[in-house]
Amino acid sequence: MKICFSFTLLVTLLCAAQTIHAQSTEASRTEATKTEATRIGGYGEISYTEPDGPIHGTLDIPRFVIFLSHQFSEQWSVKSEVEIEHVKVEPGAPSGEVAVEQVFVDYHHSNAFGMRGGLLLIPCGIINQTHEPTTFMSVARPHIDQEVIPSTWREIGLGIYGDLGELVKYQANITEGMNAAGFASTGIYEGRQEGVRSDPNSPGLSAKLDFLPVLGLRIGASIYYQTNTASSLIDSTNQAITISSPLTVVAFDARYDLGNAHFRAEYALDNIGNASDLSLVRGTTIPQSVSGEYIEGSYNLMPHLWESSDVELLPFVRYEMVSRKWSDLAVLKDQTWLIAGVAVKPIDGLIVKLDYEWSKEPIVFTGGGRTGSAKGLLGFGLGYAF
Amino acid sequence: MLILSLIAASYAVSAAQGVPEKAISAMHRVFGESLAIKIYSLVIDSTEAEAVYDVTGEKVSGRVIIREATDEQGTIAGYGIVDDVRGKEQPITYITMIKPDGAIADVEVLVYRESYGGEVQYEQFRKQFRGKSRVNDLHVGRGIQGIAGATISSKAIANGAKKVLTLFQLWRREGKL
Repeated sequence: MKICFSFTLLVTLLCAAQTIHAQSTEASRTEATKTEATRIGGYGEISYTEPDGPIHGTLDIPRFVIFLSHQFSEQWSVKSEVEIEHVKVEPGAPSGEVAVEQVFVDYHHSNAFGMRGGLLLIPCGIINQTHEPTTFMSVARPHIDQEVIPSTWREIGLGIYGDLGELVKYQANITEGMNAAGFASTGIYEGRQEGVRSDPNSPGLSAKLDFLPVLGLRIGASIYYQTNTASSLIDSTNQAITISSPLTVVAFDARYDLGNAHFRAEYALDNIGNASDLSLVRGTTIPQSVSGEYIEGSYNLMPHLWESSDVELLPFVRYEMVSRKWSDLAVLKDQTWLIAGVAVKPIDGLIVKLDYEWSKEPIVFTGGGRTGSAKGLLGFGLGYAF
Repeated sequence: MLILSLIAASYAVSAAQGVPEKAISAMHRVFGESLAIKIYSLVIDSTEAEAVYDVTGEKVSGRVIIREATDEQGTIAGYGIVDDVRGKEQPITYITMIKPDGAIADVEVLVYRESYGGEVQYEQFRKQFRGKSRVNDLHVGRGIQGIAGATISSKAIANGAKKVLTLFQLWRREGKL
């Protein structure tokens, strides 16, 4: 019995060991494919924004990101991202930020199944998981991906991912949740714990499905649910406040590439449960819901001007809207924007952007130490990713 | 326990099936099950390397293994060339199968290692390569539609097919193939 057991155990172990080394024995002699186990990458954005109004413009490095990964084997890896926002952090000065944006262990078993554990990006919309500056047209990220989906939304937890056949991809995570102590009248953005000595008391469940029904089309549906974002609230005497505020975030996104034309659309909704009680407890009016949408089209003109060139010349236009509903006043407040511009990709990995943002409502802008409103914003940006 | 190890063993055999075995399976699927596969190699000389660099921007050198599918009469049904291209972080191993008339019969990914961009392994993307015989038609945005959200791997495979087809056409012209 013992011999049989150890023999079968040995066979199993030998077979498991075999699966680790499925290396190609015919690597082409191309220098590009000599990959090290440890890889450094990065992306960054440099911007200049000039408001149409009395407020001064701003030059900034919104993001400088270093990506570091290591492959332990074909299946096991660790991936990480460190980010510096707005150049530097200085006590007392307008805030810059240094943060670990992602760090996780990844087990990629097969096309159908993989697992991740660590500080993960919440699968919600397009930008939260794909936000290198070379992947979007405008200088700034769309408003919906800042004000409705709190990009870059990342929390510590565990996740699974993979392909269901050839047309569907899935992701599902359980992570630390949001903390309503950070919610504001604008929305949930500051409710993110971001893995900073976080409270695991009320976890968040998130899932996303991506559908690829026809070549060029990708449709996403995301959901996030947390039973109580208020579970960590305490009053001035350090007593726990017992109110319940569930949070639901849903998002739908679509990307369609047809030859030289590219389209994107996104819709997202944050539903903050029991917002009126939460507002009373927090002493600030927290919205019942925040929602937004955008639709964008861009077109690569270069093949019409210079057929064999690899440079991309992409004029684009985007219409966006964000709405908030505050339960006290039952007021629905919308803001809409129209952003038009052109992005040029001289080579894969680099992008130069020029755009102008209009809004019917005044645009709040902070520059030169003053905050005021502007009729429009002119933006110029440089971006890279490698 | 025995059943578990048998399952593990059968899984391990298929997963650890080397690239050469996968390449031969791909060629049998495309050119015919009963065909013999003849294997030899060709060396990339400096003129050929320069030509590939001009077209793809990639530096190539060394020996390339050619697999030739032939029938009983010795007629060549097609060629298969295995290559690696770089994805976002890891190499992607794929085979380009070319018919004797110089048109691509199929492109198949043999090993996809990364967690992202794996859509290039699937039919939706691959079927675009079939029948193409001009290197200029193998460009993402011009002949090949990339997968939304998997641009890097789409471009990697398209550039790889360009590289292989360029080499094939050069060798054809020089009478080596």
